[in-house]
Amino acid sequence: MLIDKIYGKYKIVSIVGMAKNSGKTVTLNHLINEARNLGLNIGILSTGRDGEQLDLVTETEKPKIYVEEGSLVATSSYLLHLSTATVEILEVTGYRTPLGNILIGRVKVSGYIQVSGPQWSKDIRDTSNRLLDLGADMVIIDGAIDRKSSAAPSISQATILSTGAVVSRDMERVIEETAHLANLFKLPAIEDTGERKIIEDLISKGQVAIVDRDLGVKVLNVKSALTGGSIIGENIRDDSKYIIIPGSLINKTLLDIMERTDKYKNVDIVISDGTKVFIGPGDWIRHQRRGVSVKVLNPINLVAITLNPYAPQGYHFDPEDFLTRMRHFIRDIPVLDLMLGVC
Amino acid sequence: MEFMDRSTFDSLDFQYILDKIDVKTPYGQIYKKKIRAFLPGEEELLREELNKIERLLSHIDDEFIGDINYIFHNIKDIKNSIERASEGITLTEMELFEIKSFLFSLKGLERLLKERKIKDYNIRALEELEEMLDPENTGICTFYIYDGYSEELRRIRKDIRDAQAELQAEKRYLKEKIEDEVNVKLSPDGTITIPKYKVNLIKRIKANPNLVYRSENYLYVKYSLKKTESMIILENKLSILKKKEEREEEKVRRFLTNKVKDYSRDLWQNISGIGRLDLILAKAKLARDLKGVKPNIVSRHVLHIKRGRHPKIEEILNKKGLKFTPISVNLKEGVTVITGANMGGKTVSLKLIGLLVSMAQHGLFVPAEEMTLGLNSFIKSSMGDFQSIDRGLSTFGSEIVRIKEATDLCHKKGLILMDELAKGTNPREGYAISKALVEYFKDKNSITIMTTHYDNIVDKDVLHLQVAGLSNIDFNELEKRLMSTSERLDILNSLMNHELIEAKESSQVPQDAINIAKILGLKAEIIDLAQQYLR
Repeated sequence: MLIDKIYGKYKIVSIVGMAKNSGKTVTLNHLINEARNLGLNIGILSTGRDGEQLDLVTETEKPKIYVEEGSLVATSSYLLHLSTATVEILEVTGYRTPLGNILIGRVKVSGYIQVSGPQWSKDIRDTSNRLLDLGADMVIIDGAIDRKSSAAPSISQATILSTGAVVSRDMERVIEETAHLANLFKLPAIEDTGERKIIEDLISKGQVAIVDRDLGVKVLNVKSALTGGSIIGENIRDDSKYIIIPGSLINKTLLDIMERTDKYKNVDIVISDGTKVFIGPGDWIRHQRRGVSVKVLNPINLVAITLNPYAPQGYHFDPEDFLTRMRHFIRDIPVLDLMLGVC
Repeated sequence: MEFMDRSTFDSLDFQYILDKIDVKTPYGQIYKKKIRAFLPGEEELLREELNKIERLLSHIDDEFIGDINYIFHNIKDIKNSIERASEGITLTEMELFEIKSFLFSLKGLERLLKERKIKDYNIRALEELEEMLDPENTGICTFYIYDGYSEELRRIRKDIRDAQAELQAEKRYLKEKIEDEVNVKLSPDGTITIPKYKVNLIKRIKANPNLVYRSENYLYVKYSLKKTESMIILENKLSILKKKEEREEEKVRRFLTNKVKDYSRDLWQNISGIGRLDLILAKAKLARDLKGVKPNIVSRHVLHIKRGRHPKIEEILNKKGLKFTPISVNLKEGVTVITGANMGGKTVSLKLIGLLVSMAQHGLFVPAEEMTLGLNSFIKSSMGDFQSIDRGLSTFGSEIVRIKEATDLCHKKGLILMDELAKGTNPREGYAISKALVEYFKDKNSITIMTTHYDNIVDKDVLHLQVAGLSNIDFNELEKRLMSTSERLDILNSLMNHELIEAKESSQVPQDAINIAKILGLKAEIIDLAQQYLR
């Protein structure tokens, strides 16, 4: 069972999909079902979908998540109005969305509901903790549709990744992309508390910087790392230890750094978390060969990968073949096909 | 007529004071936006406002502020909902929740004010409405359409729960039965997907009356639980019950909306009470932070300040570890002239007087030891930094425009502040204009204050204040040491006495400008020559 990978070990779990229709909602409902069968009281929220919220209205005529009496949910006034569940409003938060302020409620009569949530990591974490305080045994965060805008993995204790045929017609590519993302999720974290404090501060302020062995900080005068690769490269010294890159890590930045200096081999590039890497599998492996080392501030604990062999475009993979091959390439993380019932 | 025009408002930096009035609730915001000056004739109102601040000040301790901020923090803006209810629009559950939450805040506030014996604000808990929104007497500030609102609703919900439980039980029973019969595991949603080559299994499934074909592709076929007749009946029943529940909830919401409407007057009254309390409390905190005193409002048109401080400049100086020199004045209608050295703080004195008058008339305590004030109907200033320079006027041109405006107003009881008139003009004409203005304003009904370098424009009908300026300077001692400019500036500042003193009639020509030049290290040769010319 999927819940075996989580329950008893983690209290806050997020589910993210590699793409729309990668089977995230199936995974979510599956997990909710399993939790229900264990008699667990769950709390559910989703990460805010800035800009997407309004499109969501048309999609949410029929809310897709079935919640049992006693469950705790984060939703908004408008979405509450669409739900068939009866919900007791416990708190109205200050987090705003185009569909009304986020509120926290307890389900009084079971039914379908559309969950919602705040947009920023800290607010999502606070809301998750609030759901636990109010009595949830486990909190499930429905991550944003697209992993690129998702803050969910880095703030939850465990993450489930949904992937599937929708990613590409070519099964090899789906496997490669998924294995690559699983790898990025596993990037090693900065452990030292003192170092973490300095790096956290720089990342929260959005400052590109170089930290040397004595923990001296040199903030670089670049607007963003996206265009500042050369400047970063020029500033790496013999005693540099970390390059701090808040925001996204892209190929061009790495190429610009490598073009300027060979010293990049002696430093670690530090980013917020693995979802911030926007470098394809091929380039990534090449960079690693050349000695690029990337670490993260917030590690992601990937506990399971779920597969959807069907793509809405009308094609599909052989489910058992897909599962076998995915498992062949990703050995250290459980891979499940919930449709097949192979857990 | 406005009390202060934009230029005066900016020159006095009144926004700095407004920004320090830290209200916490949406209703306090509304009252803060409406702050205006009390005008002549409103003395009694202003005294009452100041007395309220004084009464509240005695309660300001950390505990009280902590308690009240906690309550204020939870107060949301429910004005829209009350308006909607009054218009007969049925409120949503969220709105009812917010009204309930408001009522809980009200109760807390009433209790807190009672404990402290604060009576000015007419804040009263609305117990009956609160009970309406808490029909099961939970005492908790959460909300939904409780079963307790109607027997019908309770019955419907019980039926829903029963039907749901029955349906669940039936599904579980069926699932287990199938799993037993066919010897497979179904997924939690009651489906199963099987590879087509497992022919025997498919045969068994096909033969099972409780499984039904759902979909297939080349490789797989998917079956799901076949709903039994009783399950279908239950599902239909459930959807009818849900509709009924919705209708019943709507009825309850309409009933509650009407209740809110009935109480709208009381709600508005409390909202205004909270707004006023929030604003007075913010004013009281400002009074405490600025170590302010209550200005004494009198009917005579006078202006007396004892040891007044300019809050913004004081804050800047304190940050540098320096002290602001308090300024005292005792003014009446007619003209007062302030003269004194450059760098002596004439302009600061002028701004201080204007700012403290404006604060007092806006119902604020003032940073001074004492202040007595007759109300002004306006404050008009002419203080350099003109925006009208953008309009193509020179500094002098702008000054003249401002002074012309002042001459139109000066027959009223107002306050006119003029800083270094005509200083960019040639001295002879500058002197002539300044002297003429003193003559013009001295018998008008406004209190006019001018700073100027021309000290011989004063006559016996005019109060003449001087910046005390430099004293006790031992130049020989100074000259022994070689110093940097910044050291010299520090010394200058430490020797400069910014106090205002009444000038004696026979006061001699001040030499502060030359002394300052000397301290700042201008060549002795030039200083000597200047002193010769002065004689």
